[in-house]
Amino acid sequence: MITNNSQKAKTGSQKNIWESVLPVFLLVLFFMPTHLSMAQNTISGYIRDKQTGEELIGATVFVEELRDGTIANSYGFYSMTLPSGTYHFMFSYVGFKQIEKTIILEKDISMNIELIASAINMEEVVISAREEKGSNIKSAQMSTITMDIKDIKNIPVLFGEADILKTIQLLPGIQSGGEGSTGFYVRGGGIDQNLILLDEAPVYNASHLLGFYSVFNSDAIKDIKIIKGGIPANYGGRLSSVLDISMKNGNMKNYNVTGGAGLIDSRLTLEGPLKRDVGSFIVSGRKTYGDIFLPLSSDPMVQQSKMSFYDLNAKTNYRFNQNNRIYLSGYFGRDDFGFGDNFNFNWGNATATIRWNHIFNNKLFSNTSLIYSNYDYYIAFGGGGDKFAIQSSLNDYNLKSDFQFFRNPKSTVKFGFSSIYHAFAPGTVVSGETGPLPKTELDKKYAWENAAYFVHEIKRFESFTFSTGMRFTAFSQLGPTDIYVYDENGNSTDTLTFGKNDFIKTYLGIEPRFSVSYLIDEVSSVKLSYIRTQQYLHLLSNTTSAKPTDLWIPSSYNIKPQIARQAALGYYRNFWGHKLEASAEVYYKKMRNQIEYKNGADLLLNNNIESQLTFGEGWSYGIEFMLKKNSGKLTGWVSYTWSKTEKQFDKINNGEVFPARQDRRHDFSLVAMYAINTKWALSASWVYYTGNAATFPSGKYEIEGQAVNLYTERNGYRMPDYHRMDVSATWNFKKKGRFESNLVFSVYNLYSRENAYSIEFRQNGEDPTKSEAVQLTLFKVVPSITFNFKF
Amino acid sequence: MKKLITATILFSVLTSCEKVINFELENAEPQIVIEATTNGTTQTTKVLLSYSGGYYNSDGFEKITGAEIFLTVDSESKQMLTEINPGVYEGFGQIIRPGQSCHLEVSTSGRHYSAFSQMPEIVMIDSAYYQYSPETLFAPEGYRAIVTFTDPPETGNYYRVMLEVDGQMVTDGIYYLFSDKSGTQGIVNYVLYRNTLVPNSRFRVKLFSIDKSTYDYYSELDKLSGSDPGPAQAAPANPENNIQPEALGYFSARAESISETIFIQSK
Repeated sequence: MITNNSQKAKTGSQKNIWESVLPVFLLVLFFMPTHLSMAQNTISGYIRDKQTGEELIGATVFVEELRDGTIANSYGFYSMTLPSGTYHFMFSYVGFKQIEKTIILEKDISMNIELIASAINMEEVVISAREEKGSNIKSAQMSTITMDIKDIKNIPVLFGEADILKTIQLLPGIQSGGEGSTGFYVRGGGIDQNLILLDEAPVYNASHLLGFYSVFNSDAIKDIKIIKGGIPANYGGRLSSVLDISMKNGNMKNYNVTGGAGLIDSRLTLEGPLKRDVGSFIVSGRKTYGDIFLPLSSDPMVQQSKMSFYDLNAKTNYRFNQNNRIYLSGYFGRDDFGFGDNFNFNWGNATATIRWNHIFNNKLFSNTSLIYSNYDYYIAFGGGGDKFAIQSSLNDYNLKSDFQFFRNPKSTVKFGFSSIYHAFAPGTVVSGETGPLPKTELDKKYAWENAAYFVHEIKRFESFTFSTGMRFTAFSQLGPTDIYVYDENGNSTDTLTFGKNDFIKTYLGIEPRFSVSYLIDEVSSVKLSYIRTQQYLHLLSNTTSAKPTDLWIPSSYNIKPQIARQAALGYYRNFWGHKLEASAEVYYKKMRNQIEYKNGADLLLNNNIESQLTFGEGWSYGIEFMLKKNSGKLTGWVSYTWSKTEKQFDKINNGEVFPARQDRRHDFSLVAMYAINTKWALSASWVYYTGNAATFPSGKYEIEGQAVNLYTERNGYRMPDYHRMDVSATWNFKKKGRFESNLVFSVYNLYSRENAYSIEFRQNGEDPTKSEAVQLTLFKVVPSITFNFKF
Repeated sequence: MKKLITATILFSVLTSCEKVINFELENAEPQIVIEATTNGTTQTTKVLLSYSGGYYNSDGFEKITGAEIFLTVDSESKQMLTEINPGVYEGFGQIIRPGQSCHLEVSTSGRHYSAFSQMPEIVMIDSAYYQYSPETLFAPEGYRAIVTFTDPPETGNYYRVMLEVDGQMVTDGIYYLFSDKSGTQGIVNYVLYRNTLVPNSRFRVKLFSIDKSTYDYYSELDKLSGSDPGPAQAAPANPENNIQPEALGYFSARAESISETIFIQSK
């Protein structure tokens, strides 16, 4: 589950020089020797689940004598360097039984720990959960929430399919992009400002079925972490948040089959050891059959349609020895949508990652990754000679290396670099002989993105924990391409031609990251963070819905990188022996070089797409509250966010400030899960938020005898308030040998609230002199049932 | 494309519902609307003047009568338009050659508006024909008109295609637009994919060469045309135009090429 955190407003007006000097100063300060002439020894190893051999990310190592400890990194590795002596170690992880060991540390020790899951009966969970006792309070990292996949699976969602991206929208500071949508806004940032990583590979389009499903199959996922503020320097490339998703490694001990069938789709996962405790694999697939219901529709358009998606996650890892381990992981998913014989539209992501974990010595851990990420879409109209098709794709080739140096219990240093080559093919038209257009190819675009960083986490002055870091970035647009130079009105005034791998334009970035926590007492703390982030890739979209044709473009001769600065301040307090966590965070974020379309921009197949853009700035501030109960029969959280997000563009709204589309004043969520007994579990969620800003007409006029809506200001109206309750009940069947199964009954929108997905202002079909406001409601009550099994 | 987005929210079609709601809107002050074209091929200038109205108003739009309207070509020959019906002004016989600059001036109620448009080069239709098509997202099954023309080698050509069926213009408010800005050159087969033709009717196609500002205006208008704006358009705004000071509408100098009339035979 868990670990919430937060923020506050500080002004982001420091000068750049001060920005760059500060962290270096802090780094130097904290690198000053904190010790000690005594002999030092290191204990290190991996912390794993005894049953499956999966590494436990974020498991805690606590040393009683020091009243201090460390946590396992994202590969489950831990390391602590201590003066010689005898220590009581406690190893723990949420939902697992704590292990205590007395260790005489006289030399370096390598020790792997296996923890036993304790979720077999509920009473035990009450005792064992959250043994790490308030790491949410102690760590310098703020505005971060981690969730275990088990919790995500308990929360009711649309069509009964557990979904990471929809679950995180119930957290404070994270807004949904619309009804049923997997798109999300974090602290007033755009949908493209979220770095979504699947096993370190960026995922460019995280949605299936136009946003109603996320591409992440929860059966293949181990855990997730979302960072809204105070983003450490080891992450970069997006302004507003990081969603770091880790896939399971596969069971190291036994073969397992997990699966499920719902109304819309089925899932099947196979995992097991390649060689017991040395290597394992996991293959997980998902396929929809929702379109078998389409012929039932009364709408002939729908009857002729087809739509489906499938996805496949595969991963394998092999430990050559204690110090070297290789991981191979991949994702492949595709959506297919058609209408009769004359329209086909398909799109998908593919990612592949090779990772090499190498332990140089018991204090220095490293990971090197080679990552490939692809997104493409294909649209075809008509058939035979009339055929007309558009292809578009984006490819990333990434090499990165990350190092983690565990100096001593009070000091950990991370450093590394990343180099990405981006290749964009925005559109190629392929046309039949009598097709409407001759072959057309939009200019391909190339870019090279480099980054180097360091992070220093250090505990000082009794109650302070600092995390300081710096990220240096360089982004170059490369040839071959033609660059169009535009005047103020977007008319091309000159064309510059560049050859292969010519450097066209290079942007540099210095991104300081700083956070500090002050422990007031054992149960409460205050944290402060300040970060600067820079983004070189931008998603162009002219609608509110996530469309597969939304276009990613690189920073270029004409497009500057987006820059954000965010300050946050938070207060954290745990109650009832850390069973109840409360937090309040305030934040202020300023975003520069934000991109909007000029009015009526033409996006499809436009070689001059950069001339259709206009640039301005945005800012967001707000306060977020969260109260979370992590253990016991009743678990869940309540969250409330008040926020304001505005923009200012010289060429929009006559240069006046206007509310951003994601400007939402109040956002409230309640999530409750109740385990009645080993057989039944219930859960419910309720959301309420005030309407997003929208542009609606304030009159109409006539052109060619047709009424045209008259607009006066950008986003001057509000959508109606939104609220909805979802419930689900899980019925666990008796375990037969290894075979476990359950049935999940869920209802989306229990009281059938007719929420507005959109409001269209249009003429009445029968009487065109009459203009109407027409509200579209996507989902009234949607019941579903899912069967899950495991053996 | 918009219809496509609507149609692609398919899941929802199974459970979704549309209903007319009462949504309170502000009433903006009435604004002047100038809809003006001058056709270099037919030597006809036509201007419609009206005011905008409240969104829910269904009484039609107020016409502007008694305005003074002048068309000047290359700052030389100046012609005054005549009001032939309330709010409808016309002028004939002015010769405008490609490349010449047309200047429209409108004066009403003490206000003066001005707009410039450059007469484009005419591009002739090579041929027009029809072809059967099954039902698509945009139109029911039936015949579609197709027009073929040759886009000149130099870029910067903009077109609007219109359709006349049995002597009636059927594409008012439907914007079939084409430009060569994506790098296209040579022969273009343009399918009028939103109109369905039935057997035993006669049609002809008009190809208008227009200037860039008109093309931009029409494409913006098309994106927010009242009939089908799509469910999730981000932030609509009034189309930009070439009229100074700010007013609604546009002024377009255009040249037209008309296809022969084609009779659609029954199968």
